[in-house]
Amino acid sequence: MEHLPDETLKHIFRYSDPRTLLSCVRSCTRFRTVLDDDDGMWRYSCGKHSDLSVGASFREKAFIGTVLREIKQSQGMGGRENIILSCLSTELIRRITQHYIVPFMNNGPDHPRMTFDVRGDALRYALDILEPHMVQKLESALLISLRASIHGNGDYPRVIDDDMRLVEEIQRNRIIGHMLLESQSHHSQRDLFKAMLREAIMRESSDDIVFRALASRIANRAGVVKMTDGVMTNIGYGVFMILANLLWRPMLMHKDMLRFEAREFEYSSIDLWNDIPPTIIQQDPQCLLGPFTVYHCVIVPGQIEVSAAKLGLCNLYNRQFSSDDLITYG
Amino acid sequence: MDEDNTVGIVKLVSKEGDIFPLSIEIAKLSNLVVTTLGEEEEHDTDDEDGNNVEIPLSNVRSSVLEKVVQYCVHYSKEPMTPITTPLQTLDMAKIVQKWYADFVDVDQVMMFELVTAANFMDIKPLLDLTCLAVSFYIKGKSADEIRRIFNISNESVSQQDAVITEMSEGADEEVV
Repeated sequence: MEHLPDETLKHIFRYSDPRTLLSCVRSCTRFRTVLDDDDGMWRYSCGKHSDLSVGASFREKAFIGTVLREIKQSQGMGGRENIILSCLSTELIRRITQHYIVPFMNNGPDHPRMTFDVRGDALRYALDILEPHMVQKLESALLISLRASIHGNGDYPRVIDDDMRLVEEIQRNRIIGHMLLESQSHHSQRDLFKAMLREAIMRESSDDIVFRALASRIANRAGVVKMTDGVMTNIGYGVFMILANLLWRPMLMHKDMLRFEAREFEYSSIDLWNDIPPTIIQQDPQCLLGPFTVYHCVIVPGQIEVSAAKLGLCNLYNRQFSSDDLITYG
Repeated sequence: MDEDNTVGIVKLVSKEGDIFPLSIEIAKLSNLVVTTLGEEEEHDTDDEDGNNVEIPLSNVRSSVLEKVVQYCVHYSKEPMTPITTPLQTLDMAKIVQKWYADFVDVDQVMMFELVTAANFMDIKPLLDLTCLAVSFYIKGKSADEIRRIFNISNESVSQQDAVITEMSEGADEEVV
């Protein structure tokens, strides 16, 4: 038969399940064996921990995200295979986008208690593969979902019982965001970071301080990079907002809920973190609190790369911190 | 072909030259027809009803065009349920009405020719239906079968396999 046009192939793939899509590409057929094994898929896509309360559907989509990254590496084999790969990538991205964004928008019946971890993973996978113009859409959906959660419609209805505190927190974020936008130099960013830490130390428990510090660090770095470029792009700002919301919002949560969100960390020398004192970044497999996810963000003109930065923060979390320790971050 | 003298008829001409008259209203399910009729109007044809408009479909065989006409006629009486994704079932008859499910219960050659015709004639619901049918058809098939179905060349397969094997060795360690 004649070659079907690319658009028609894409059309066909829209109705195909992941197994079939993987079958279409020789280099991806091995992934089908992973699809047969739920545990295998989980390990492959999300790391070593299998006790997080995420559904099979999410695991599948997370797995697809993993496959997508490999597909990118597979391209260049030439001919029709590349067209299929392109179609496959497009279709998988569409599925991932649809899967990630729709539940965020709805906090819907399929994901009535979508955890913060899931949203974090969604961000990680989606930003890694989505075209930049789609990032804002995801960001909007995330924010809507997060706000719904904060207001008790979603994940954490029990712990958000103080509207005034919420308002205060939102206001704080807004001010910080504004300050980042207004900042003109790396120096001022660092000052801002220190100021934020000091404020956190004054206001909150040591647990919160740690997370505020991390959030601040990320936001700060994102801001610095953008300032270096001299242009605050919508994409850059979108990423900042995502990070800020992802990392600030949990601070409103009860400690037990944070524990629920725990995920594995291991130290990475990714530049975002390389100036955190190594003495406080030690892996401890026995850590009772478990791990946490923080995202590493690098912004370069025309490109966004977000990947998980794995740090030994479980240890960090357990330690009795002094304010002096934290101030050295900045 | 007994509607030849009916007002508001467009004549679809197959690859073999067979003429399939169809009322304009029904034929407008095809965007190709809509576009063609629009162009005819611009050229100020004598017959405002389009009776003399013939649309050559040089890459659509008569047997396929006959099916397409059947589809269009039935669609005008019972519009097909839109196909939405993600699919909730793999039972075609639960996704669309039974008539449409039966309509695409054809052999592979006809199925792909219908896809091509729907694409060429720009009939979106027919394209949706036939693409869905193809996706069901390839489900569960091996990579080689799918490559054969889509006429994907096996050139350089050995080269590809070498690359893939190399990639797989690293990745499989992660899987386990």
